[in-house]
Amino acid sequence: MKTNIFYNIIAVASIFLAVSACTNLDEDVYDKIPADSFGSSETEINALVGTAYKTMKNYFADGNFMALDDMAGSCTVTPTRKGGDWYDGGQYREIYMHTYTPQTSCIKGAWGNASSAIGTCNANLAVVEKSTILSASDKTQKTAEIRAVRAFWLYKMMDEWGDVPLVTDYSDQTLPSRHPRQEVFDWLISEINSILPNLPDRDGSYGKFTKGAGYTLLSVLYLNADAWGLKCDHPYQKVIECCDKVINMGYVLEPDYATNFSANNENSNEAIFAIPFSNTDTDKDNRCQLMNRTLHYKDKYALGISASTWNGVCTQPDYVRLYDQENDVRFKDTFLIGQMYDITTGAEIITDHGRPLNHTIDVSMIEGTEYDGTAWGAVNQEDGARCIKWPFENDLVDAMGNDFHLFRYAEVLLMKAEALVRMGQDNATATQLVNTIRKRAFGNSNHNYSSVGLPEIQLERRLEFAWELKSRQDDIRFGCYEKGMWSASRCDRSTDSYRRLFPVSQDAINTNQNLSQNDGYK
Amino acid sequence: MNIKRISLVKSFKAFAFSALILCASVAYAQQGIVKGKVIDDEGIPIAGASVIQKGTTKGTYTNVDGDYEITVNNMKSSILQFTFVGFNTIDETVNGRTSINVTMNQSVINLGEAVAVGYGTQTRREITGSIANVSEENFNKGVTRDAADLLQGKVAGLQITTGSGDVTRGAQIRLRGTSTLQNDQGPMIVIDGVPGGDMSTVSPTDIASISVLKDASSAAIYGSRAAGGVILITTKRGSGSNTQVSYNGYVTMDKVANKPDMMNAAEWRAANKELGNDVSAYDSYKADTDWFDEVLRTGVSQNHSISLSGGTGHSNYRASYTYLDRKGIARDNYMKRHSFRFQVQQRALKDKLRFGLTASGNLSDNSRPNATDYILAYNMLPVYPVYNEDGSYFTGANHNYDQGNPVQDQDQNYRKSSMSYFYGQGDIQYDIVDGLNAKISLYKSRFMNDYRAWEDSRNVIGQGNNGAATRRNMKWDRDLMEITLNYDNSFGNESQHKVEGLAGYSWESNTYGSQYAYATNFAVTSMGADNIQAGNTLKIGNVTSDRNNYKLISFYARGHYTFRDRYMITAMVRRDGSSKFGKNHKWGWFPSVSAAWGISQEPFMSNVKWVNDLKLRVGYGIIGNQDGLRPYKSLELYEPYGTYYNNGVQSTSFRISQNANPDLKWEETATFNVGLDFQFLNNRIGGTIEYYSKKTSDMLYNYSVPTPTYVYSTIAANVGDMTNKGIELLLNVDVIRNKMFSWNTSVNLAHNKNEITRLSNDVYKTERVYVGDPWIRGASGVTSHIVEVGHPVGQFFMLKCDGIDENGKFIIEDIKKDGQITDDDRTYCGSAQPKLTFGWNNTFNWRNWDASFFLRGTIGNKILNNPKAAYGNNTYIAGCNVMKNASLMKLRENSRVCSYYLEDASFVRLDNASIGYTFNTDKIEWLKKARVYLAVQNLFVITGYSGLDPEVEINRGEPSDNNAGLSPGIEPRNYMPKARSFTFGVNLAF
Repeated sequence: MKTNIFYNIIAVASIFLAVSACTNLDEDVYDKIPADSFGSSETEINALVGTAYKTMKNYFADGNFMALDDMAGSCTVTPTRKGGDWYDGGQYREIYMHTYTPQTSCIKGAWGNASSAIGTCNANLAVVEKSTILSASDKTQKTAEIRAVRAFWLYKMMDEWGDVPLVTDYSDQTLPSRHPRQEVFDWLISEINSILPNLPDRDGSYGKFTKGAGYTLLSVLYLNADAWGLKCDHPYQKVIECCDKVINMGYVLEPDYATNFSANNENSNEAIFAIPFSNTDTDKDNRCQLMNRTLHYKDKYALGISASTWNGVCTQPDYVRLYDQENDVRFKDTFLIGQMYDITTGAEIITDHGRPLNHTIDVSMIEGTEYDGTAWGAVNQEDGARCIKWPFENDLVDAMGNDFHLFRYAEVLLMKAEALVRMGQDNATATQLVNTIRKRAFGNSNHNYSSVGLPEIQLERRLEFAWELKSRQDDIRFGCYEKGMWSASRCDRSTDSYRRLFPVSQDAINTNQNLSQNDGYK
Repeated sequence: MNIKRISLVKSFKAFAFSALILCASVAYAQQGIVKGKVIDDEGIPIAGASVIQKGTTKGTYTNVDGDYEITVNNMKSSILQFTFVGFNTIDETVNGRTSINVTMNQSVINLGEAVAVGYGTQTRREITGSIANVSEENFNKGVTRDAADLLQGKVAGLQITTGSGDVTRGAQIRLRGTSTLQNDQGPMIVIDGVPGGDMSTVSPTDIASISVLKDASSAAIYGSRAAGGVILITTKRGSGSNTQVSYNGYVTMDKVANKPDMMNAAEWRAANKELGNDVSAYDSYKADTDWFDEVLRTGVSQNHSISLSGGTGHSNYRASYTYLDRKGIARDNYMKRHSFRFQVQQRALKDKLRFGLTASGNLSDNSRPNATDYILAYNMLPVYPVYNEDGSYFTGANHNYDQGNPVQDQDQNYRKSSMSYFYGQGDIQYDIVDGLNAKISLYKSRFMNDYRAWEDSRNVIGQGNNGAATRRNMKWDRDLMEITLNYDNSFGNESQHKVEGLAGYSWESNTYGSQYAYATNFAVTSMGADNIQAGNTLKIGNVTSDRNNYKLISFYARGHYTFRDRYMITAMVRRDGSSKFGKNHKWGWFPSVSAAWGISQEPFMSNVKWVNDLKLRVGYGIIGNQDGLRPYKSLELYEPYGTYYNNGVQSTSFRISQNANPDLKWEETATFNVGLDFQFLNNRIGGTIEYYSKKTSDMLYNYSVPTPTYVYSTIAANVGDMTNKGIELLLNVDVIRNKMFSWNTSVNLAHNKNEITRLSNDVYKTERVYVGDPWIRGASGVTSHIVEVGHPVGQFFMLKCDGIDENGKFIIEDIKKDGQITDDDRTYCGSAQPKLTFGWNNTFNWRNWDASFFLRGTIGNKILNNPKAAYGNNTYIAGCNVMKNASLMKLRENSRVCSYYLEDASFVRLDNASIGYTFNTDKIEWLKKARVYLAVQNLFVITGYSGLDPEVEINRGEPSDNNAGLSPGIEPRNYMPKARSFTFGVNLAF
């Protein structure tokens, strides 16, 4: 009897174990989509192309490239505020004074943004290329778009760091090493040329990498080739050719400069390549929060917005002084300057330090606050011209809806003018191109030039593209990268020419020993 | 059907067959009745002592005269076990006797006490692994919420840290140091045999004892989840024939133990005068407000607990209900909990079949304070009032950075959780033959939380969004089935061979799901989070849901053999499979073996009278951890993320959600443990000394990888190694032991050395990870700690400051000697891990009085005094208030993350003390017991640390943060002060 019961239990147990559910450990995935079942409809493929475009948002919104391209240049600066705000381990001091190291936070962040975007593009490209549901023409266009976004990021890395990894195959798992700048440049030229025929046309392609964007990117590459120390035959001639292609595509210079930056700037006919932001986005790395970076904590009461602002970046004072403050519409369209008044009560706004909230152009070190024996110290909270170039909507809380126009028509015109000047050809056309820009800015022809040289071109680019992340590249091309536009600070920049390249991120080197460090930073 | 499974079935059959052979060797001897009397060493009868036949479910209790009577299965080989609290348990083999009288001895450590060891119990005498056991009489006194509160400081090597004074926040537990980098959940909790439980579901008054499995040789039975240690909670049971109604109640008053030393109005005015600041813009309210006094209060809490228990010879039950109303010292902090628990056991088929049923329900309502309110309390000027003259809230500072009226926030905002946690467990146990029984246990639990949060548009928190409401519902279901087979017998001459065996199978499934909604811009404030559709703004990503599942399947076995209590060996093995692991590593083995030598039982020791017990234990085993793994981490998946612009609309884009790792598996911790248990001088001195060495390998972490080739910069992988080595000492002394007065003192000491020994392998290279975000103004992205080979977790790494120079500047060491101070000049500045943790407990009994006090503390750890950096700097005034400190007015520089703010945090805390009086109820027929007591918790702290409290949370931020446990030892700038608690309570039994 007892034995029987015993055997019964064994039998039951054996049956039990034989049922495969009892050792089945397959995962049931409920709230995500397994990779092998994704990409089976056109909507899903579109969503992947969308992810490639979405990486572009980081370029403007994340703040890392703002530090590298405008603060290390001559346009903006994030001073340390009294009380310590924005010292942040000295990273902004290092960026302004050109004493950055492989550990400087925003340099590591920028490398991470760009290289991760390239990885995303490669991964999505692999799925789109394998897709069997797209028509042949659809597929070539969509792959071309992803490749164009990838080309932008590679260009950006090459611009900042010189030699960079050139990884284009998602399935290739070998740890990349850095390819010479020349090789990356050559690859980019050929890559962009090969996808150009397949990129979308201008109409109905706002926010897409169009043919116009492709030619503009080529122009940028040719225009800077010499400054990058690269071999390239007839670069300026090629700039002109590419710019002419764009000029013939029907873009116009918007009569009102502000149209390019308004909350509805998707209507601008000047936009060649736009990074569209949404004011309904909630993801941290999708949102444009320029207002937080630049506005004082209490500016919102003067502007009637409700964002929780951080009082960070302002404009380098000597840069602001380049403007004709009386006549150039770009001055008032770009900067927030002067005493702030509460929009409802009209009262003068006072800072937490008991000072009037008066945004002065000057940014002045408070004596005795200098750090570590350097000239860098703290400045008062209210100092510095803030950016209102992308106007803040009244209901702005935590995300701006204004789009960022990475390439606009004005830049094409100025690139062509610069190429002409650099070649010493047809100054009349160059002058006319620059005057087109100036006429819009001043509302009349009274400020037109009779002829232009490089200084006029450089000045015009500064006036036109303040805060548009072009400062560092321009300063290097015009040979003044080592001179900041905050002379009163006495924070002189390092004059070492190796500083024209940023050090490779230490984080990147730590994970990939095949990456070498740039000269001067070893 | 795969090959592996066949072999498992085979091994299962083989085990069962050998068990059968063993059973067959036991003769079918006759049943019979045994009677007897149980007395103590002074001849006084012991009433209520438990008498059971070992290996069966049969048992009874002695009556008031100490007499018992029990029917045993086998008049020759059955073993009777006699147990009573405070006395050494005694095993007696029947050997044909019909009358067995026993004398039980008092002891500092009960060697015969049945200790939960995981899927069963062993007596202390038999234990070969490292297991600490704390039973009811040694629990911490005063207001307690869960088992962690009862245990804090009691077990050597078990570090229990309660961070802020927030009463809704649980303790953080580490056993023998930090043994993983990611999501360290501390020990696994097992409640009445159900693994993976939640401490908060058991009311402290329902707990009978708690076992802590410290080393791998004891915890390996729990396999891939045991590396952080295992805490076994055993609840009280009803006892046959002993019907009892108990009431335990107390009232607690929580006072603020310590608050920051801020300037008052006069001091603030004087400081501004000295600095030459014009303060007329602020100082027009004639106020002198202490903002911490305004946001804090004296909290009055109460706890009522009723239990009913009893039974017959064939059944027993216990039902209990506990209501805890815990009010914190912050005005908006409380926890209200109703706990129900019901257990019944019934026997049938001549007591061979036993049914057990447990039902438990926990309903709690919590209100969690918003830590931002403390930031406001630090910053708000003392010259600002709480209310305007017309009684409305003062809102004049609500627009300033990090300022605003915190009292208004507390009154208008809330963060409330309504949680329910139900579970039921049923088991059927059958004695197949003597000593062999089979058990099947089924368990189902459901945890649900309805979270409601509201930020009112009228105050500083909600004004930015013009009001914001959050509603989140989550549900966590757990299904568990366990089938076990137990064998327990003894044979040979004088039953000198004792054998125990266990084999089991377990299947577990966890399903988690949640929904979340968030809306802003509310025109009407009165409905709060109860009408979220009243919000005018709803953005993409503000409504979300998720759901996931994972399974764990296991086979396990344990064998134990004892020869005359002299030589003991235990071996166990668990084979765990988890769906969370990558497809290349679904299953893992977790074996262990341990042995013990009962030296005092050797014949040559029989003349050494002063040695009552001496036992040497040694064990080795491998256990795992998978807490760092969330489901689906090994798979390549797509998820919706953000939007992109497409033909005039923003559409949802999809991305690969993570770098997939098909090689993902558990991490392994191999432990070597050697221990010596001793009792000397008539059992008056007892204790344990232990050494252990733990090595964690294949450590789970989100390691950095290059992009490209990867899409993301980190991947969940098994790479690093870490070691923990330590010594623990427990000493328990009956200093005075007589009828009138007794004094017992107990000391535990633990030293642990943690070191990361590897962070790279052939595939993944990690040199250093900078972690810790001290969060002071101007220190975004500045870290305080480092994770690096050769250093412990909790290693501070920052600029080294040698003081303040005559100009009021920090003297920062130029480590790199390049003439400038950059991140490259950061260096090692001490560790947050203590060199020694200790606890010292004392209990006194004098006539009807009892008293106890308990001190605990740490030596040799450092804490970053972040509030001092964040608020103790004169550059913040005039607009902000500042915290007073010696160098406040001297400093002429903004605060920085540097070693200037690192302080030694060694401390001694009088954790709890109590005094109680038990009334003589002999003459009151209906009253069995009546006791009243007073208890105080956190009476004082002796420390050189100048911040709020030298004990801070181990995990910072949310536990789900990748690096939450890697930057211990920071007092956050938004900490809620702790409480000092005074409790008056009564215990009654009818």
